[in-house]
Amino acid sequence: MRYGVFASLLLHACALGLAFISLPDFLRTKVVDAPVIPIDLIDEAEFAELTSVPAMAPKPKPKEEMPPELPKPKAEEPKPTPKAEAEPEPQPEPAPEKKPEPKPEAAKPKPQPKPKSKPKQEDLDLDALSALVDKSRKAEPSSGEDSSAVLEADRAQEAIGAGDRLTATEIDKMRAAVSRCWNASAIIGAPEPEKLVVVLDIDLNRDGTLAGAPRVVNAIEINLSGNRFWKVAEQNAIRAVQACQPYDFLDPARYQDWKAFTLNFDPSQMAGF
Amino acid sequence: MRQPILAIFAAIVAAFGAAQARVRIDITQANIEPMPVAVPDFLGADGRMTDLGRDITGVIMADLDRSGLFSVIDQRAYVEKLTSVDVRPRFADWRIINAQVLVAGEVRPTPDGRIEVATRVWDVYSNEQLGAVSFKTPSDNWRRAAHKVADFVYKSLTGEEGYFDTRVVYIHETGPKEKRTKRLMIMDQDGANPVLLTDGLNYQALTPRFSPTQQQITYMALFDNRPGQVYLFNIETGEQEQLGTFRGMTFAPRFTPDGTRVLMSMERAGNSDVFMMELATRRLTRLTDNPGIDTSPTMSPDGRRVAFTSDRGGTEQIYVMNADGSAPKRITFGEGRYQTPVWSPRGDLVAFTRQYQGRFYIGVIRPDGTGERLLTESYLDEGPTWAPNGRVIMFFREQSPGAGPTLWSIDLTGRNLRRVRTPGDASDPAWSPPLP
Repeated sequence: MRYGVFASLLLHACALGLAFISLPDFLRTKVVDAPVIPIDLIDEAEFAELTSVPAMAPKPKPKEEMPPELPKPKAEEPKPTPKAEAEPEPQPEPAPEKKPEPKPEAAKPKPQPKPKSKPKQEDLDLDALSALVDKSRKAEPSSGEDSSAVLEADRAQEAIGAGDRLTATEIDKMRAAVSRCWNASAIIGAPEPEKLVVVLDIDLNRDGTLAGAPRVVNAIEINLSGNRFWKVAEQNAIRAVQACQPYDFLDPARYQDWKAFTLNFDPSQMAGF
Repeated sequence: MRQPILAIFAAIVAAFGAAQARVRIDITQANIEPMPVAVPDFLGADGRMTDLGRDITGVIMADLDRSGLFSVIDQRAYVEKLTSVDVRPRFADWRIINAQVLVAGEVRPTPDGRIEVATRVWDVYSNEQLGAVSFKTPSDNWRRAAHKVADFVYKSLTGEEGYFDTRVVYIHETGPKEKRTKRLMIMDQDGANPVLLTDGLNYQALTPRFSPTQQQITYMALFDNRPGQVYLFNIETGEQEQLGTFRGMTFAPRFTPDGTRVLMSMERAGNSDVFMMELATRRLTRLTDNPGIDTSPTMSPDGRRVAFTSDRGGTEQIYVMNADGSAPKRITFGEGRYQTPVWSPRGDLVAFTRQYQGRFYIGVIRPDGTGERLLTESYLDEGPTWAPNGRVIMFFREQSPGAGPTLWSIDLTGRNLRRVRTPGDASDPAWSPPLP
């Protein structure tokens, strides 16, 4: 009888003792040492420079060499046949083109209607195109030589699109600027406003003003549809882009990155008012 | 032969290498502020023409402002003083005040004693003329000429026909609440020229409805001692014709878009159904045959379908059926009661009144039942009527119990809610088609 009570008391004491020792451990939360990630706050100009290969300063030189062969606006477009383009508004183009005329036959096909001039243009284009090929090959090595004056990138990224990257912030600024001037109050009440998409190509000068009138990429589609609300949407988009110039919040030192835009005016997300 | 192909191929590669990629940006949000427009006073050669020009300009500015799509810039801010409507303006002067569009005009007398109102609409940023128009009219008809100019500007800038050269007929209510006198009144859509059409002595006028093809109104006349009559009132001649005694009719019939037939709901033996009557032959065709109460029919502008209210499903909801009465299909499924459907003249929407938990709402829904949107809400909003271009809805509202009804208008996007000024209480508006 006495052994039982004694054993029971002993075991109870052991249990209590264990509790005193180990319970606090369960209640205490463990502190884990997380690895510290160092953060560096930089502005967008630095970010742009870190993620791209700047090729600013040397560019003006090859630009001056190219116009005698093919005028500037043509050279920018990534189309395989720079001459034969389906453009509804050729007016700003013929003006600068006619000025440098060491190749008169290159300038002639433009005023003629496109289907007729296509076979002719192919013959002429070849000389111009092969000359272009030579020029660009000459231009790139020279730009590499002159890059000593420009900051070096942290990481070597030469293979990626020659550094023509705008930062997300700059794209947002451009989008906000154009949105502010795009007056859509007339078209959201139109029937099926989600179909009234207008795509504009714009070129900018260094000071942010428009270099020539905006080109409507889907102009033929708009004209053929006979939808007068679409025509109004086209006028609204052109007016928006013209009203908001100059776009002078973009860094002039990186002009090459932002001199050409394609703006896609899409009212479908506003169709729910 | 291989040489040119190689050159082309090389050129394509080089073109991609030498060319700069265009940065593509999606613009999905816009500024839904009204478009700033400049409207200088219309020019005139002598004092009378200048005064007319000023009046016409005032009406045009009010119309454009009231539409909610344009904001007319104060004339005191204008820099250039135009001297002739045929000369190109100095666009830089108009750009400074942020005008996107300039409306320039002139009033000239014609040899036969009328006036000619000539207008040019200029796009200030692209330096181009958007359109030009001129109207000849007797000089006391200058208000209509001003409305027609405003319609032209509206159409040039939105692609939609304007609605400014129209009239609105409504019920002019006077007297204490228990003993209201209801008379038919007509006015220009901007509130000008209100004219009483009935005298209210013998009967109460209710539910006026406009014919879409002629300047005619049908309305219900309620008498004290005899059954209600439907009258056909010709606005131009002032003649009234009795359309007939339709026993059991509680509101005026609605015209079909071609103006040759009327849709009505008639009560027989406690049941209400939709009928169509040919005006020329007076032949009645039954369109619904259902123990539920079918009422308030309205026809689509293409004449193929009819929307109406029916409580056959338990509560009042809106149904759409073919014009011969076949295939009725319910299109509203929300809580509450849906009534007074009115098909938009543009055909893409049906406006209705919805009642839910003691509040009234004016809303629109597509004829297939999708896209229901509520535009307004108040203690009592009822009786929507569409402007002839299908963009603006007018309705009447009682803001609180005991407050008299007043007319209001709202854009179909739910913006630009405005009070329509009337001399006294007004209800049951009906919008006319564009005046000839």
